[in-house]
Amino acid sequence: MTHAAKQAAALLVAIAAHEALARALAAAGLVERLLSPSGPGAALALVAALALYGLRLGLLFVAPGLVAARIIAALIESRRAAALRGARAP
Amino acid sequence: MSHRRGTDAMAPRWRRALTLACVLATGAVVPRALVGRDADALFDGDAAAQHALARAVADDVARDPGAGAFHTGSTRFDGEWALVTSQMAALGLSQVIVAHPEARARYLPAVRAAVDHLLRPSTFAFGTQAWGGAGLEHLDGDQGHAYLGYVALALGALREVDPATPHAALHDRLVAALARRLERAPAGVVETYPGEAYPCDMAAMVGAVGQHARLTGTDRRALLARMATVYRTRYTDPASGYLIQSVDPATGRWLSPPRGSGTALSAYFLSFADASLGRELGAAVARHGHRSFAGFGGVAEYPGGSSGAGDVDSGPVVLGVSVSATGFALASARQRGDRAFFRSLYRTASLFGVPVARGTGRPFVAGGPIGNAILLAMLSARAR
Repeated sequence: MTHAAKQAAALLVAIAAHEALARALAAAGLVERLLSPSGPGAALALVAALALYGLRLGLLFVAPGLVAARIIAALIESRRAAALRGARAP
Repeated sequence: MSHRRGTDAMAPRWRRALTLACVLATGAVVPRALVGRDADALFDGDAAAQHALARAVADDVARDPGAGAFHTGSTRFDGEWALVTSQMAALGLSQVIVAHPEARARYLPAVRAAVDHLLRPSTFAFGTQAWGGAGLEHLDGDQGHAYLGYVALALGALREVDPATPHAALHDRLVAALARRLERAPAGVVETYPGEAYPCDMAAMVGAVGQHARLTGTDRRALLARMATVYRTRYTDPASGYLIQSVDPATGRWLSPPRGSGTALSAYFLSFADASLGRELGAAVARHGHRSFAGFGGVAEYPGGSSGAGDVDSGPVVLGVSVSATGFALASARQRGDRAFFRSLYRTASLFGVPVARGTGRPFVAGGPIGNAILLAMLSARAR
């Protein structure tokens, strides 16, 4: 698997994890669990909520830039490679 | 070869700069395009957009989250949250019914249930404990119980969509008691609890009186005009237009700085009685409280020059922006027709609220029953 393919797979996994976490917390009642007097339930909900927000902010504010940079870099490098090939041609 | 080596040596630094530039550029454009895309539909009162949240709120009402569902560490706050949850559910669902009368059969049972939950004696345990007597059982008395304004607004919301409600007589008696207490208050101050008075709670009383007058034709114009003057001259900070959060019950002296959460919620409550006063407060929040970053807006809890921490009224205050003030300000943004402000606030609500499909509804994951009920009421607030 190429580096780009690994990054694409990681992005898809992150999107799937975000959706799964959001649906799980909606079904479980995030706020009720955070306000719950039972420690383990509240702690687990807090960890899950932090993971959800981390994924959400990363996917929205960082991931598009990474993808765009990857695409632009690939385009520039392919043009450069084509130019080098052209320069070497007799 | 030397050319290739030179290019490779430059690549990592070049790539980092390109990546940083792309992250900054897309961060300023992409999130605002992806998050809160239903803002315009909600602003325009689109039926599908309102039903998505209304169905979730109706489901929450059916599950009956009473005071036992909250564990803030304070029985008073638990009770207040349960009261507000039922009140906002009744207000929000009735607003959806008024906007889309074909949905009456679907949501009226939930409005009735929310009001029934509200009227249970256990809901008022916090007030009964503070005053040493149940507020609804002593309506002829002169004790403040200003929190009953929230109950009266919910009763009015039910009555608007269910004129034959058996609670109509209680609604009449309750509003008459609230109006009498406002009329007898020399400085326009009615206590919520002994020794504690909050203009926002009194705004609920005033709004309930205005709502009742509109529904029944009772003439309360003199009282409403007097209270509008009280709000403009005594409770409003002249510099910011924000409302003071708490006052001395005896003198009306300010006991707290002006606050965004109380101002934004009061703007909504007062709109039931005096639309222009509600718009003035909403405009002050937009003018002095609006903060935005990359298209995501929030409302400052404290206007310029004052500062403070978050509390049960404001929720968390992050970089000066209050969760509650931001949510409450959605109502006045819609009522004033300020689409851009509404959009920016709604993007933030969606970013951190995380709307997700659940059953046939689309609640906010981070809202819970209280947050979703409040957001439904604010997002469906009608211009008056």
